[in-house]
Amino acid sequence: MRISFLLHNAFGIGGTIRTTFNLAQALAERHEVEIISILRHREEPNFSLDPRVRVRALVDLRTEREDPRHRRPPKVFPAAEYRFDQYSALTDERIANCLAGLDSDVVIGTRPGLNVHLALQGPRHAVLVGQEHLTLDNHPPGLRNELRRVYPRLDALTTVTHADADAYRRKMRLPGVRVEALPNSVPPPALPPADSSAKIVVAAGRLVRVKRYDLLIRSFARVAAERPDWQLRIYGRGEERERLRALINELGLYNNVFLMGTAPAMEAEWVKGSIGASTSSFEPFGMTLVEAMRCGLPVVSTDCPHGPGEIITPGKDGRLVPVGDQHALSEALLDLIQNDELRRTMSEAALANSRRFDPVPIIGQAEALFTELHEAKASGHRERPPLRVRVGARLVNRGHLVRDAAFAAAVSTMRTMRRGNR
Amino acid sequence: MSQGTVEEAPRVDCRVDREGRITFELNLPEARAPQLLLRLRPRKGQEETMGHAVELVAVPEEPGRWRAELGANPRLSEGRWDAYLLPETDRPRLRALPGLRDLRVLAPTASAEPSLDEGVLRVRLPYATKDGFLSVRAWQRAGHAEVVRLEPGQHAVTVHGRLLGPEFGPGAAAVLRRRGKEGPERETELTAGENGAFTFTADYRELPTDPGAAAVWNVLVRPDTGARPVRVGRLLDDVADRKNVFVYPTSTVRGFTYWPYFTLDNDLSIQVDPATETPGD
Repeated sequence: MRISFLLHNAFGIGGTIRTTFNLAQALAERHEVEIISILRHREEPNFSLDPRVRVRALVDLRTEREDPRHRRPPKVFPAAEYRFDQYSALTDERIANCLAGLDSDVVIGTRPGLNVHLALQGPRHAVLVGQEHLTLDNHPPGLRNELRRVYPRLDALTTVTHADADAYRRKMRLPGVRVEALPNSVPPPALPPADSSAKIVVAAGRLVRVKRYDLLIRSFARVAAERPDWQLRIYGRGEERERLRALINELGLYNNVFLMGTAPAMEAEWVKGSIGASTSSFEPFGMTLVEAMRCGLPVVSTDCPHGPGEIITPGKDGRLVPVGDQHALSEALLDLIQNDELRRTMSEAALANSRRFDPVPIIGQAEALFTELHEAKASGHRERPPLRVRVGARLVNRGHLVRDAAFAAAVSTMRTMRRGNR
Repeated sequence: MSQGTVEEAPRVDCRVDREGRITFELNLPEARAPQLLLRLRPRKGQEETMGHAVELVAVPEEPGRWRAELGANPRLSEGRWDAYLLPETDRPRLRALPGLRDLRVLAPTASAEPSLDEGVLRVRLPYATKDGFLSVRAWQRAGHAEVVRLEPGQHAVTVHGRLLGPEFGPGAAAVLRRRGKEGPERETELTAGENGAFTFTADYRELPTDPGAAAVWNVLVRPDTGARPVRVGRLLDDVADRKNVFVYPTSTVRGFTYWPYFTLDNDLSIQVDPATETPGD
């Protein structure tokens, strides 16, 4: 099959980019695969990519940032999408042209706004797959309604957790659309796993508020007081860096807590530690949890929606603590820190249990799904339903629709006011 | 994307073992007698003077995979050694890219006892340069004072560390030396413990300042009255660029800010700057 991915920016850093690369290069073993990066701002991607996967960009920000069309807001890309401000009349035009000329068998969108493009403009002959790497429940109401309007035109929708797939089935009417959970995959590390002897707790992710590294640092104050021989290393960069630095100074943790910056290969950093930590208040999947486990680290994580609870088996290969609970977090970390034997058995369990996220079974699942849809399409295709939501279809859906519509109206008013203030 | 990769240097994986050996491994499918070159990076505008070629040996049962081992020899003098590959003798050298660097034995809480060779500490640390290439940091110190922890206070910073090489004797002291030609020096009392352990407190108020002038004070330890002071720094873990990772708070004392920090070479210094007046002060 010829498979095309639509990706916001293949040249950035983040879980969606990594998981798309993993899937793309695994599929490239047997299929012709390309990644269409809507934006590009540098020469080479940050993550390495199998050369068999072709990458092309639609808008090159290095030369086209000042294009007048790029200063006008988009019409197709939904206003309630998180990346709305990075899209424009220029991206609308380029994506539309790209999709019109695409002769791929399967086209996969990797974020809500791109799935909207795909649903509205995707080639008739192709299988159209929307991927949800975030969660339905966390989307603003205006976005939920736009998705509700256009997603029936997709052939399949994949989520990264079962919880999110359930939410889509429950709260949206998507007749004829396959809704399936397709977890992110993490390849087996090349390095031998950690041996649980190092006195280092490792966390990794963008330094942004939702990751709640402030909570992790605060909870580590008690750990450092009881076990000053232990370190916390936080990898990543982001807008919270200076605030986190100030917090480390305020708590006097500069000998125990370190903001490490980005690492070119996290794998080599995980194996220096013996416990992984994730303290997000929202984690649609939680790639770093699986990465840490695949390197032999049990993970202490907040039980936030939706990923951690579907990755960690509490008490076996890690711990789940309530979101925002600093005390429980310190306790859980100290439990593992104070008990070498527990850490060792959890480390072994983490290695064994994380194998279910290996690319082989997960790519197998994705490939089977794409092949099945491709064959169904080839043997008499399903008509794409017209737009317009049929209000009154089912009461439960209608309830969600009406609620979202009311919220959306309120939000768009606020948005208009915000724009006016700029 | 695939264009240009043919001429691109391969990624080189590195591993440091408990004996301090560095093993390099890489794929070079076409090569027959490739070599790994380490070149001491010269100062800006100067010529390369020092280099070592390390033999690459074919890895058994892994066609196209090559391995080089860097044992105690050659000794690398202090500096940054950029890694290059010479696929064939008549081909131009390629700058090596970093692959996976397994430095877990260097991680601070797992580190093996540092070994000194006739009183000289030699540290080698493979790292990725800012522009994304593979290089090896090397330190070679006849005597070294390793920082274990810093406790910055309101007017002072207390340094806990460990002396490697020379032993403490009468007249041991910490020495602060202002950078620049014939910069002044200040001595501070030092408490020596067992096994080379030491503690001293550098009081910022004892450092002379010139109105409006910034200065940097290097921190050293003098093992005894007649001994040559050795530099205080932190070299014994896996962190190659410490300056932005091991960051300590700044204090303001009598119109100057004092910031204990690790230099680009991972040595300890104190940066002194005139405090900027805040409006309304």
